[in-house]
Amino acid sequence: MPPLLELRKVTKVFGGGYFATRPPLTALDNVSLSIPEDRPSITAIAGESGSGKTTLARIMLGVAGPTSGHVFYRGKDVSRMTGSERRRFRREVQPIFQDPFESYNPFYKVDHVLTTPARNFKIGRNRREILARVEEALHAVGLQPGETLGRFPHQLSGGQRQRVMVARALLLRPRIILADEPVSMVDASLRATILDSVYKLNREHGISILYITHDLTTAYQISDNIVVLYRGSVAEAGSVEHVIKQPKHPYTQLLIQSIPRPNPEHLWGEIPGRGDSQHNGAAAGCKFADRCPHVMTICRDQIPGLHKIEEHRVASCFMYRDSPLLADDDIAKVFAPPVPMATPTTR
Amino acid sequence: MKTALEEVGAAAAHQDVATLVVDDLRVYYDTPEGVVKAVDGVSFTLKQGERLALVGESGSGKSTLAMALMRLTRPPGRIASGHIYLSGRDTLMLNEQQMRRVRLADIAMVPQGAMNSMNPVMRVGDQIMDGILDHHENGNPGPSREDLRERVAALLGRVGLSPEVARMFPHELSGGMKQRVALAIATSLSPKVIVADEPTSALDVVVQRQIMGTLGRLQEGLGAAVILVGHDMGLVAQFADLVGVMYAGKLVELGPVRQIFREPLHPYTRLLIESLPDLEAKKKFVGIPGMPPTLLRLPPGCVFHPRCPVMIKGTCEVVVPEYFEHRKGQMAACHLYPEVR
Amino acid sequence: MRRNPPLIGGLVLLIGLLLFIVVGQIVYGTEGYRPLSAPPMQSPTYEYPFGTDKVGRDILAVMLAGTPLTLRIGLIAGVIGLGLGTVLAFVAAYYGGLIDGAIRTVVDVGLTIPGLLILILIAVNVGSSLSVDQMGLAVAAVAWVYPARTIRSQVLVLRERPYVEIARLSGTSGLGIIFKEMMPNLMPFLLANFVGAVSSAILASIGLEALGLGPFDSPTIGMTIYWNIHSTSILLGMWWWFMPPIVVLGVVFVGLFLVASGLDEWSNPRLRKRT
Repeated sequence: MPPLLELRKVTKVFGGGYFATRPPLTALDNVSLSIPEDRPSITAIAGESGSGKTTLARIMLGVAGPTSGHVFYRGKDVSRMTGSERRRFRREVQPIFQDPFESYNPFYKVDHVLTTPARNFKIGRNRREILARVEEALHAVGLQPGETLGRFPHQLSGGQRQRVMVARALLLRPRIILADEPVSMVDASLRATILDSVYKLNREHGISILYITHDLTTAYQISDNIVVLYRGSVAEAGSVEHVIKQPKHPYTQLLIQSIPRPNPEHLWGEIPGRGDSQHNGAAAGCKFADRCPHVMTICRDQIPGLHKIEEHRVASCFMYRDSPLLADDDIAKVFAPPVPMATPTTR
Repeated sequence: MKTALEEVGAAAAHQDVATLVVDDLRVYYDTPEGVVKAVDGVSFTLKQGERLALVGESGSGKSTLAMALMRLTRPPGRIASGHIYLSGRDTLMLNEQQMRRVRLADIAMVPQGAMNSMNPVMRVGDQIMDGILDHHENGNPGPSREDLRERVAALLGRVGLSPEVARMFPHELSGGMKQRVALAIATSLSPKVIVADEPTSALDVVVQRQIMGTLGRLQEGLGAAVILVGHDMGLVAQFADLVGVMYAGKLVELGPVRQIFREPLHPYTRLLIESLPDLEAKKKFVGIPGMPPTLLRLPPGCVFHPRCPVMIKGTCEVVVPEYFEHRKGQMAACHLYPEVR
Repeated sequence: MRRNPPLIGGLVLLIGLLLFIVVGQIVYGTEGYRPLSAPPMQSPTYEYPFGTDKVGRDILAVMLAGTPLTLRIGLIAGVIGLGLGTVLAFVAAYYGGLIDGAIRTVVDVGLTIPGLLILILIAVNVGSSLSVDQMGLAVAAVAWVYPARTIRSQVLVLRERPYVEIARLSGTSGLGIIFKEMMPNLMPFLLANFVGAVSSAILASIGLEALGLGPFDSPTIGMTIYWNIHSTSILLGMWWWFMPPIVVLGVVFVGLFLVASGLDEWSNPRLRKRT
């Protein structure tokens, strides 16, 4: 069975060309990742600004196209789909965006964001059916249709608006949801409910989730597997328990150590390695070399491949060059299966 | 000539070596729908060199409080009542001209989004000089160009930037560098209090850590006090000495950081800390049920009672809890704790 | 609504003027606008409240008949000009690429050529003098350029809004996005532009008429001004002849300006209400 969504050696370059004034920027560099059809899980795509995670999300959504490499959905190349194949792709891959305010057209009530796709993708045969499905989706995320429908966006809180967005995603019964920083603009006390709804979308409804974020803490809490990006390349990937608890790539280690723990007994120590690096896309070798505390001569000359350190982890670092290289580069090969919900969560 | 209140404030300030004393500050907004009590009776004391973190969610009033400390409250907001004693002097009694001299020289602010609020057509060095020069206008011959340039270079060095940065424009700098410039501007006249409103919210986690380190070193070097306004409890745990928790315009708890995290008094604080995700283990997603109240119609009694899991029927929804010291150094406003007089 | 004094003030002025015309036409009648309808060079009397001009036109009748004509020119030019400009702006901004490049080039070039020059060329080449409706069309040909540019900028901004992207991902077609997502949010801006276009159109038409290129037989405000200049009414001290068109023009422009100003404030309410 072909994977549901597959990125094969996807590279995305911005700028460049004959009339350019600045050197081209490689946002994504030869990334291969697949989402299996049969094992819906939650995968985190983590990275800081400039890592390429947003570009990756946009390419997966089909909003942007790769400069080189291919994107396949259900085995068909996305750039060469027929009209109906495209509509199916459009319906089955849905986003949840970061900004709960800007995602709404201020002219319309919040119903608009639910009924528009419902009508376009013919979720029901008539208005009554569509309304029934909409109410069902709202209930599933813990909202009351009576208090939500008929209101304008500014009359709801940020948390409620974001939950409506989750309901919208659920309504269309997609196969994949790309959640781009869904809680970063929401208050801390309201985040849990939204994350819980997203989690249930996967565990109860079998939807694969791609959780794109810079916040490794929530990524750890919600995901089964994680991909850490650094300047367009995969630094480390694998089961979230391994990568977060025992990071092997120096960049991941730096990230984890820089996270401020909410525990005053456990203070930040000294920072290994240097801070901001100068942006020079043309440098050869490992992109992290100029900041790496373990840098070796080889790091500056060659780009490290993805070494499979354990069954559920790869890292692109020459420190592990004794480990075998990952065949065909598909990171998903090292993903761990999701752990089913231990107890039904009661809210 | 000082008023009686100012004399008291000055005396109190001298005794505790307190740099900043905020006394029952109230900041209200006059909107067409009614009066919004953004800050409703906040009091605290800040000693020299202390780091206070003011945490709260949206609508808690923390940013309004920060602006009020600088007396930068804009209409329809107004400082309704209260006192702000800066080194013994009530800044709310000063006229605008006097306050302008106090700003930057005695109390400085790194506002939210400072890195994006710099003048895009002015070189960074000139923007730093701007503040310094502005405080020299009264009569005395200002410093020479050479002196100024040296001073700017020294300020940039203090925040970890090389002197060449002075000739650059803001858009040529990275986010972290811009925030360092904002810190340099804020500390250019060696203020006694630095107010930083979400100084690292737009920055990556690695840069964030460096900036907080820089802020800490700056503050120690100057012997200044810092008020860090934000909502990231992790940052608070790593940086602050004192933590003040704000909810719906009130300060519900205040205490040393270790005590607050180990044994929070107020239920809101406890729920907030419990809801924090951490990297130790996966756990269920726990939030605080309900929503923060609209500041136009605050609930009667304790503002938190509708969401409080341990609300005492008959008391919490009727009587506003007193705010006082329940444990050594830890203040809270909650009916759970019997009055300790 | 109450909090928008410019809008109210402007509407009061314009509606007042319209009432004056409507009531006047019913009560007073407009046949007197033709020459030789009355004894010439009369200062205002009870019979002729605005007096008469050099060739015997009843000036009150002229104003009652002519003002609606001038307004009509403005409306025709405004509606067609703005309509064309809006369509081109949306198409250029939404679809981008070569279409955008082409439209933008035409607009940028068009903006550098003085509109009056083009109008004069059109008027001269039409041969016999332009009728009122032809004037409207001629001005429309020039009036679409500036709205096309400003509306395009606004559409470019809107296009990047997340809710537009969500609509696209919800299966809404390109045209659907233009009409259902973007246009409703631009309504106040479009209205303000419309009022501005009408105002400029009236000014342009008056310019043409004052130069003697307008419809000679029509009592439009511009033609009245032309006759004023032609007959040196100022030197002759015939204040009752040159004051009415000036006053009416003043009311029209101030009214339109205030309405546009009020609409502009309405279309950016979020900039004002954020505390």
